[in-house]
Amino acid sequence: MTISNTTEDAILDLIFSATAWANYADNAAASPQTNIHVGLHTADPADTGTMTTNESAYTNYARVNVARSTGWSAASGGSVSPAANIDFPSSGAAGTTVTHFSTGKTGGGATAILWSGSISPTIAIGASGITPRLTTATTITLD
Amino acid sequence: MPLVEVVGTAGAGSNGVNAREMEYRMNLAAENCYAEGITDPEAVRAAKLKAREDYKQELRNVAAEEAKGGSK
Repeated sequence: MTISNTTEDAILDLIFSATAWANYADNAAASPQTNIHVGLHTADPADTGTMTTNESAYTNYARVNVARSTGWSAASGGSVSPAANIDFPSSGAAGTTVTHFSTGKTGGGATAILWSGSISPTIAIGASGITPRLTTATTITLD
Repeated sequence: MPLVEVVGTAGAGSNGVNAREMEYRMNLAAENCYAEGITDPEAVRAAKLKAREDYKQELRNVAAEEAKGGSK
């Protein structure tokens, strides 16, 4: 059983870049999401989690919006990446180590996760003034 | 004010792919890049995607071996 690379890319482009999948699916006509929310977690939110599961709560933490229009690379080989670094707010005090990230619907709260995964290296929020950055080497894949 | 750059890896697997194993290997590839002083995001991403492809090739090789065994 396989999903072809073409299909993987079409699904990723539809979700992350709002690009219609020709002859199969268009971006939502009513109230389409214009951004993907990106969050940080202190443990794996896992398959059943939401964006609030183990979500980081360091002082000043907030999820970051990444535009579906321009914020992600075109999918290739079943993989997408952020078009630019994703910088989170600088910590205002010492907090818990960040180990995972997630993507999901905007609006805050316990929204469903699209993709989540680990970060490397993990980030010890050991003091104020620490700015976590997900670089463009971040990958979201579908196989 | 330290800026901490990290690489995220999130994979969804079918096709016999174990997403967590693939994620582990891709992160390891990124860590190896940093250990060698390679920090260019394009190079790190390329190394991660190569690790992913290598893993999938391993799976294909295993499947091919199993198919041979089954035909005996």
